Amino acid sequence: MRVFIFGIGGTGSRVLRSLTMLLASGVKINQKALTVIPIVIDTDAHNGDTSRTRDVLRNYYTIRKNFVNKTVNSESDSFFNTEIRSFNRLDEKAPDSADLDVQFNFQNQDNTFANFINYNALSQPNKDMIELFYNDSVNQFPELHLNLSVGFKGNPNIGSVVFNDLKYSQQFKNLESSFTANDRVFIISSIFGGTGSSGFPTLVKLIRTSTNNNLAKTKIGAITVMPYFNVESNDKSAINSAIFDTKTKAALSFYSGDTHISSINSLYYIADNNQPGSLPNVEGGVDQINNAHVIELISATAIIDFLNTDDATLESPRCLEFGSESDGSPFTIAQFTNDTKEKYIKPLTKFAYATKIGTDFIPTLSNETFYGPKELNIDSALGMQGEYNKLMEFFEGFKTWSTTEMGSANNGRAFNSFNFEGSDNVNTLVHGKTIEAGIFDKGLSKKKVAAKLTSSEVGLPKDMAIPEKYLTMLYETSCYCLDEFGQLP
Amino acid sequence: MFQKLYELLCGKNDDPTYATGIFPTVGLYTLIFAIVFALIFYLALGRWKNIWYTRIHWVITLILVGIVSGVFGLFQAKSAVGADSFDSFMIKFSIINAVVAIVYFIILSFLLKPFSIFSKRTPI
Repeated sequence: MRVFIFGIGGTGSRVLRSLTMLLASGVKINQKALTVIPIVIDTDAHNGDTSRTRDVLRNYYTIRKNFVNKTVNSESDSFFNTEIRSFNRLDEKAPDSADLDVQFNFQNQDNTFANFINYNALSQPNKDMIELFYNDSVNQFPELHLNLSVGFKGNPNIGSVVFNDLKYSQQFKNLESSFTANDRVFIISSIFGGTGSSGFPTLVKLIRTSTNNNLAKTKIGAITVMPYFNVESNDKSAINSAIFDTKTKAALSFYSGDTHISSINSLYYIADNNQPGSLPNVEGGVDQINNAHVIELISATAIIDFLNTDDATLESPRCLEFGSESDGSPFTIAQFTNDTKEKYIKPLTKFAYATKIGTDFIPTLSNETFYGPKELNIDSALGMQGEYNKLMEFFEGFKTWSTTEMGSANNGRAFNSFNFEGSDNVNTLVHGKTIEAGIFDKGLSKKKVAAKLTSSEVGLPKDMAIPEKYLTMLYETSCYCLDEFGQLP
Repeated sequence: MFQKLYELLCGKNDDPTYATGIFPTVGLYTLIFAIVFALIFYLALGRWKNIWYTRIHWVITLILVGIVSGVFGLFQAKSAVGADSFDSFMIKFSIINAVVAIVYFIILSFLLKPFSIFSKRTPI
C-alpha cells in the first residue's frame, strides 16, 4: 500500500517532521508493503518549518537507503523500517532518485493575490465586488495586494481561491494518473491559520471530484489541528493568536456543512488551547521556524492509527480525538495511556537510547571490538563519511526535537521526555524514572552498554554490510537498554 | 619433544635430570600455563564481560604468563637438581622458558581470538 501524506502549511510540515521521527524510531504499522509518500504543500516556498521538514525527510531517505536492508518493512524490528518514496518516483520500476523530493512546486513566487486573480482585467462591478471581500490596503494587513510568496498570512479567504489552482499543477496530475485502488491519502492541516485551513477543504474536494475513480473513492484520513500555541502579540503582524479560536469556529462551521469533508473516512481532531507561553510572531519565510510541540507528535500518531485501521472499519466516516491518562503541564510520558506508550513511546525511547549511544558513547569507545578497522571502522565513519554524518545529524535533530523544542516553556504545554545529559551512563535518559545505581551495580553504565554493543556486533552475520551492522547493533543495544529500564513511567 | 626443544634453545646439560625430568615436566606445565591463561583471557573473561580485554590487558597477561613460567622453571630445576642455590644454567633456562611461554601465548592468542567476543580483535 502507498499512502500519500499531504502536509499543508507550517503545521502540516511540523507534523510531518514528528511523523519522520516516529518512523525513524521503528514504529510498527500493520501494512507489509507500505510506502509513505510525503508531500509538503506550502505557497511560502522559503518557510523555515518546511525546509527543516524537507531536510529531515531527505536524511531519513538517505539513511534508510544506506543503513537498512531492502527486505526491512514497516512490520520489521528496525529503526527507519518504513519506506519513504518521492512523489515524482511513483513508478516502482523507476530508478531511485539521489534525493527525496517532497514539495509540490505550488508556489506563486512574487505574485500578488490581485495579479493571481487578474484583478486589473476585471470589469468595474467585479472589482467592486472583490473589494467587498478583500482589504485593498497596500500597507497594513493587505489582502488583495498580499504577496503570495510568504503564504496567506493567516487569510483562508485568499488561500481557498489560490488552492483551486492545485489541480492544474503537473505534480497533482501525475499523482492523479498513477493513483491505484490500494493507495490511501492522509491530509494534515491546521485550522487556525491561512494555508492549512483553506488548503484542506480544497484538497479534499479535488480528490473526491477526481476523474480517476481510484482517487475519488480512496480512503482519506485527515487531522485538523486546532489552536495549540500562541504567538507573541504584535500590532504590525497579520497573525494574532487572540483570534485563533474565532477563526477555528468559523472554519469548523464551514467544514460541518461541506459534503466532501463529511466523506473523510477518519477525521482526527486535536487542540490544546488556552495554554500559557508564546512563540515568536513571524508571518512566514525562513524565519518561521517554530518549536516542535507535543501536539504535533500526537497528531503524527493519528497517521499511524489511520494506517493500522483496516478498510472495513474505514467504510463509514468517523471522527476521532486523542485521549491521555491524565492532564498535566508540563506533560510527561507517565501521562500517556499504556496503549500510547506501547505503540509510540517505547519505540521513541529506543531511538533516544540509540541517539545517546550513537552520538555520545560510540565515538569514545575506541578500545571496544566493534570499533576497530576490521569491524565497523568507526574512525573512518564506517567507510561512508557523508551518510554517517547524515545519521549523526538525524540523531542530533532528534535530541533538539525531543528536548529543546518540545520541552520549551514557550510552547505553552511543554513535554518532558528525554534527558541526553550525562557522559558515563544512560540511567537518567527517560524523564520520570531513574535506573538505580550503587557501588557494585552502576545501572546502565557506558561500560555495560559497550559490552552489549560488542556482543551484538560480533553476533551479526559476517556478510552483513557494515552500515547495516552498525544500525542493527544500535537497535539491539537500544532494545537491551529498554529491557533493563523496565516499565515506562 | 620438550627435551629437544630446550636442548636446542639452552644447550645440553651434563646433569641427566634435565633431559629426563626437568625439560619434559617444565615444558608440559609451561604449555598448560599458556593454554590456561589464553583460555581465561579469550574464552572465560573474553566472552563474559568487557573487563579484561584490551591490548594493554593482553600485554599484562603476556608478561604474567612469562613470569609464572619463568619462575616455575627456575624453582622446578632447582628442586629437581637438589641444588642450594640457582646456577647460571637454571637462570638461562628460566628466561628461555619464559620466552617459550610467551611464544605459546601469542600463538594461542591468534588461535583463540576468533572465538572471543570482547577480545576478538586483541591484540590486533
